[in-house]
Amino acid sequence: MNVPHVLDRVAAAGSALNFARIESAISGDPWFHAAGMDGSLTVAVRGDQLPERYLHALRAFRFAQYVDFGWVDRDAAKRAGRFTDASSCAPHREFHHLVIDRTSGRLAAYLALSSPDVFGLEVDYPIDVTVDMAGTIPREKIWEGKRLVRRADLGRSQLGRNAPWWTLVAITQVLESLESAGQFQLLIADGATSGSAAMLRSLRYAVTTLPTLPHPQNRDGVLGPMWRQPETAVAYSAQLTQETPPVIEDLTKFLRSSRPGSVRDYLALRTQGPSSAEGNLIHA
Amino acid sequence: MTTARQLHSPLADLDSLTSQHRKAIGQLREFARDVIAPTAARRDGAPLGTVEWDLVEEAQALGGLRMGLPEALGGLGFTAEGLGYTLEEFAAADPGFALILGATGLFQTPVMLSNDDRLTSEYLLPFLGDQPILGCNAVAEELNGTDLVLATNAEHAVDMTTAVPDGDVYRLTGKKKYITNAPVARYATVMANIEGHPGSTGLTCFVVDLQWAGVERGTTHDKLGYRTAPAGELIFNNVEVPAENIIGGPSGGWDLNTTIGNITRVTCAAIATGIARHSLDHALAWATSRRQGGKFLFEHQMSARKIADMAASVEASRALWTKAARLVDNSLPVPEFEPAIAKMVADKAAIDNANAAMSLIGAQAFQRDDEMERIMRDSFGPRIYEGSPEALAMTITAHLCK
Repeated sequence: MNVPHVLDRVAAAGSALNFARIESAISGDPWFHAAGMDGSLTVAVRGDQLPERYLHALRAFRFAQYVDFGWVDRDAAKRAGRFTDASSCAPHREFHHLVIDRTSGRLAAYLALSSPDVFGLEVDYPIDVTVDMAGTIPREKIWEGKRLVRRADLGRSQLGRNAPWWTLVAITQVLESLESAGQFQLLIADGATSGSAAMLRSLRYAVTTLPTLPHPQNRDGVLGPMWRQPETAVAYSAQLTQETPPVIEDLTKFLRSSRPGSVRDYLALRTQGPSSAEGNLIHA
Repeated sequence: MTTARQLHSPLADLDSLTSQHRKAIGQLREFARDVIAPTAARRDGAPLGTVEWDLVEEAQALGGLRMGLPEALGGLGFTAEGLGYTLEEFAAADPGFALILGATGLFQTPVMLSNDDRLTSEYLLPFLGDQPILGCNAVAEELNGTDLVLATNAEHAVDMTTAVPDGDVYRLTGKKKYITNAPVARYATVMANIEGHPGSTGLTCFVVDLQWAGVERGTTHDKLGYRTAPAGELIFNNVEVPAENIIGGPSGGWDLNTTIGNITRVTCAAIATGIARHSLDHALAWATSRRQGGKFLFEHQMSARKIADMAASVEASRALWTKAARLVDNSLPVPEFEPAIAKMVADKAAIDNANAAMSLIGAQAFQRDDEMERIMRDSFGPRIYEGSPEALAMTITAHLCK
């Protein structure tokens, strides 16, 4: 049969969605807004600032990336009739961090942050967030990050390099604002240890990983392949530290410029002092 | 000079709609009046097949290409009544533009009726983005007009587009004609007859991505009116369509076709009302500024009668389509009689009002650069689309003579 599998067709539709006009559709001011020389536009908004259609489109985009990453069992999804990602909570309890390719209007990367009644970690792991992760932190001050997704076909462009980092700059801005308003103390998430947890560490978040393994039954079902990746996902918590804001400030300058090199290398070199990082990268 | 009162559909009519719908309809109507109407002549005279994508994108940003999609899917969730009010306004500005939006809705309607999450995700999701995407509903063929409108004619259809089952797919071969948006649409619902069934008795609705292998865009038609909306042929050369892309089951096309026709006749009647209103507005502007025999034209008894008849036609047409829309919105099965009546009366109003305005305005209306020339051509569109009066009469009398 010439026609691609239905999941691939749905994923192609999700990845192709255009967000070029989203800025004019945001009600109120975005929580973060930045345009980079890499052709990116990064915005962070609360769910109730966006029209419903964009919320649908964002969930469809995320699911499309899951399909492209090989995290979705195509036949199970088809049998279950699952063709988009579910919303975890009410719009006003969710933040969306989008990196848009200004040339095409398509999303380059996306990260959602939410505060649901039941955290995703409590579904996917034998974890009670209040008991196992929060300590004395009240539950309403805990926010959960969903898996960060970057469009699979971005390749090795500068935008491809920067897009995931832009989402982390944006989410840090949101968390700082929530913290100032007394609404945030702890970020929880999961993923490969070399992935988002390592990225947050490099941004000087205080990251604590849990030894608890995911439920074995995760390996079955629609998102089964996500749990069968070579590197086992870990649950972790992260807190802002005093060192985070200056790192974010430097990282933002780095992303705004058109300088070459790895972002991770830049952040690693930065620990030796800003001038050292500058010098090494300039001569890289 | 006396000022003519423009007969825009009164806001009071929107009382039966939600405040959110009223707001969205208001924005679209404003766009139609302020942006589409002043530029209609430009599109009418543009080279064949031209689409002003920037304006379609503007309409998309306001929800014009997802008016009928449920709010839960990110659409505006308009009822048939809400759609009618919006399309009447677009038709009074540029009925071809109304048709671009309406034909896309014609593609979306069967997908929504399928109640299938997979079809919804794959084929309605793309309409949520900012890049405008168009759809079309491919029914008519070279040799099959009314034989694809009246179910009683099904066995008489000839040389139908055929669907041949082949494992998990069907192979479509044939040619569709007179399809609005065909030259530029991304998706189509295609009515094809399953091989072995006489005429169109095996009519089946397939959802087709027009980028699939074997799909060819044929001739773009050089139409009399509605020139803003490109229309043309779609040619299917052994096109492989997954069996899962059938809506309503194999040979279930007639039920769907009839239901969609009944729904669409309401919006077609609203479009006809918009055209009739446009003629009236144009005639009023003339009759309240032109003086002959020492008084304004509208003060002459014969002219006054013409204007009164035109206004009555507009009001009657609107009353009929709103009644039909409310029935469509609130009853199952979708009624046949009221939409057919509404469409038959409104299409006559469009032509009669254009005719009356031509007569009233006289030599000026006979000039190519006068708006009446375009209105006159456009007025015959509703007569043809979604069933001619001859076909509608069969539906109406079948209802009366049961």
